[in-house]
Amino acid sequence: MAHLNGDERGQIILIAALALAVTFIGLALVVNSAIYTQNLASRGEVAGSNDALEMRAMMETNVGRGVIAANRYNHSTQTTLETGVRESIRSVSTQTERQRVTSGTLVNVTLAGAPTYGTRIAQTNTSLFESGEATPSANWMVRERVTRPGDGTNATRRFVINATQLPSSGSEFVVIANGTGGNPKWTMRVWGDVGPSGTVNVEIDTPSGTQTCAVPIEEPYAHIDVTGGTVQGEPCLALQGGSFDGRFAHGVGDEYNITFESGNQIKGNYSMVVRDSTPANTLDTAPASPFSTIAIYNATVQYRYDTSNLRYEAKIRVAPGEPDAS
Amino acid sequence: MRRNRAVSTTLSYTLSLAIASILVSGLLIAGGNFVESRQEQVIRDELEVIGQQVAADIARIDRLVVAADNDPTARLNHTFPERVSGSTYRVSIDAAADELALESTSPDVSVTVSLKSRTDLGDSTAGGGVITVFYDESSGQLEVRDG
Repeated sequence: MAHLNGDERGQIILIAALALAVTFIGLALVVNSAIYTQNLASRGEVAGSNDALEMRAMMETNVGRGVIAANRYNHSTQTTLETGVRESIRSVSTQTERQRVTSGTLVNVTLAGAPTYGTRIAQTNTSLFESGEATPSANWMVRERVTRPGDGTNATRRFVINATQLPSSGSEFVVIANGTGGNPKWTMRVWGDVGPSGTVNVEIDTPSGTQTCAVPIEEPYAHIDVTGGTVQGEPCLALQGGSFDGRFAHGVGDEYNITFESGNQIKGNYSMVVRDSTPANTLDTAPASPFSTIAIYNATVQYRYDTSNLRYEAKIRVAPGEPDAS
Repeated sequence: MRRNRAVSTTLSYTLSLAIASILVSGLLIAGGNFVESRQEQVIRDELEVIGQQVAADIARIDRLVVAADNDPTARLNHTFPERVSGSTYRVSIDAAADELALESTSPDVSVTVSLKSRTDLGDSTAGGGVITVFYDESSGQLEVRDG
């Protein structure tokens, strides 16, 4: 028979209380885990991959500016071009490295291999868009057999027109990218009036249709970024990809000639950089106008971004002002 | 009367002991089950959260790889808890199903998170703790491994 003396009573309740206490401790741990989960769930980006992409874009822009500057000022030989670009990339890299290292990030960019060379064709003296021959012609071939690289990317970049006088309707200035070997052609017609209260009209004809954009301008010049698809800084849908793809030389095949027509109707400056191509014998070299010089078409840089948690190393192809591959 | 003395005390003692035992064991079983089911739920939630975070890391590396021209080096370390509610777990990429599978060992809970990436995924697995998502240049696939 059980002993009923006071000392040994209530063991079951005691043991049960202990067991329950242990259960509650377990519950507390589980709840703690749940709270930690909530905390983990609300954490955002910690490693800095967004910053890596931002820096990548910034580096691409900065190196692009270096390429533009080298093409404009250091274009006597391939060696001077490469040296110019290499030096500007070095200063961009050093500057960014110093700036970012304060936040524990190592950013570095170096030129990888030799740049791809091409030709820059430009007119800088605000004259008619005529050829550079002794007897200038209004309808002339700017560049012959411009060839896309094997991967189908573009072969013309940074084609910008800055016109101080525009032709009237009926005598439009025409740019043609004519696909060789029977391929279709891409045509751009420009007319209108410069400001104040002027309008720039840009019409694109491709085998798939025609589209026009008209942009009102106040300035005494019309800035048409043909490869960038903008007029006066505003997007011109006719020159851009989309349901109607009117990007420069879109759909003309891998080799094309660039021709100007009615160049005697328009005045101003223009510049473009083309990849592998053949001179069309209508240009003299600098300082005649228009002129062509050797230029860097694109450069490839090795970009490195390191933080304690993220390592990113990639090659970036820099070709400022090149439209997306078509 | 004399022979019946103390019977009621013994009977009631036994009865109250039995009732108390039943009540207490019922309470313990119910409490234990409750904690267990809570634990399982919390593990499930935690695995889901970790899965989403790893999926986000994979998406980040995917973006970095897509932004590069060719064969980049991209690697991201992310520190997660070693254990979820006291249980170890594994994270693995199921390339065929485009899914990330997370499994805890005890209790056995498994969670899947769907993945979407432009770069190919590679079958790979990592334990809890620091998880590294990286781009495998030799196979051109995104994989996970222990960091």
